[in-house]
Amino acid sequence: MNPAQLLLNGVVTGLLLALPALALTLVFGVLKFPNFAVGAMLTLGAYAAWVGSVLCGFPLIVAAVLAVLFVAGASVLVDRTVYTRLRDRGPITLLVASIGVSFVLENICRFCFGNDARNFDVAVARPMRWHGLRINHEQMITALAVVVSLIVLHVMLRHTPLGRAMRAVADNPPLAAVRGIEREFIAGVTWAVCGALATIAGVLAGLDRAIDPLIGWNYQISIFAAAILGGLGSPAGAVAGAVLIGIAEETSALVVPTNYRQAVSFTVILVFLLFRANGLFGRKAISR
Amino acid sequence: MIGYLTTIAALVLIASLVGLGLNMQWGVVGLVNFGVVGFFALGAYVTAIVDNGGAGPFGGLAAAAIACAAASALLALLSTRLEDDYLAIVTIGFGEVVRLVTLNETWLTGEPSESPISSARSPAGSRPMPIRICFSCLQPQRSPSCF
Repeated sequence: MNPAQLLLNGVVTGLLLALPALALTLVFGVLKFPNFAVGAMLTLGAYAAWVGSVLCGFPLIVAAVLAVLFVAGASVLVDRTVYTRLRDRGPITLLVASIGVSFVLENICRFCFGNDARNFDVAVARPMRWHGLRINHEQMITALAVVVSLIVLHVMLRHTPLGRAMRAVADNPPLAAVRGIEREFIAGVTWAVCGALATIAGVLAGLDRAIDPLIGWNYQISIFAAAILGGLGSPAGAVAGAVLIGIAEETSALVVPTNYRQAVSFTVILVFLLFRANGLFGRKAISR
Repeated sequence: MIGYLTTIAALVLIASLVGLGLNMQWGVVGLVNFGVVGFFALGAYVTAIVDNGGAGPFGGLAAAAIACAAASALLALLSTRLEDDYLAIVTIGFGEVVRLVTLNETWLTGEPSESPISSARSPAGSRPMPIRICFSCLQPQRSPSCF
């Protein structure tokens, strides 16, 4: 296959991974634990959008916005019912809790919609050709949606009081508390943002392939690889890491069967943790 | 009913064995291992493959212990210096890779619903329990068609 085509596919795959990787890294930054439910949130978002667009007949964009609101609310609800009680119990307890949440969310989807693959009702369109490259409509939608989301998130984090408060809590919770920032409120906002990001990724993933209860889980290792590669806790790193992981996964298809994409991501995680454990931009991961 | 109860009892015993192993590793030593099912699967598959190769079930068991020890040592070399949450991620990744290999390399591991330990098969030809259990633990909801 044409190397430029592989590169293009890799960048688009990476952009899709960037949103859940950002969700992961934001929760890690503010609440200090790796959230294994990020894949399940993606799945929930994909199904929510499917209900809106196919069952209720809304246009896809309206369904996606409704799904974003729904999953953001659901994430805050999960935070209030599960994570709030465990807030100071250390990262491993929260990690185990998030694995539990992941199973519950995934099986709610399974219970409501079964194991069959579902599809959004979109017309099949001929890919565009440009200098020998084939560009799908899904790829263009993905790139556009992700870039817009990234810009909105960047503005929010850098230029609003809310974003400043989030960064303050991530940086130094006691100091932020002294300055009168409500940690619980910021935790809620963080979860809502993460739910929203995961849902957008879920809708885009659902456009690209079929929606099934494992759609999020199948991205899980790649999402973690992206966030670790960028250094957990660093938003800019997560985006860069995601694009690199996307390119690695697509170009590895030349030598490794595509079933092993997640294994490629896993290898990248291992190599990075071995040789440069704080990722491209992040903090130290090794203590002893 | 008796059959049902013995099946449940066997499942409980197997789960407690895995639990004891995890307790040793996590509870006593403090290493978080979320990839324990990966080793569980590796053990089951090596036993089955070696047994089918003609070495008998005990040969299979020995081979499984050696293979799992080797895999653990390799993973430990790679990951001993990592902090808790990173170690958790690496071990989960290991478990996923084992699952990917067992699902995709069907020339070696058989189709996902097969039951490869020959000597565990009862004369009536129905219930090769150990492998069934491994599969039910490993892929409660992860069918190969999903990726």
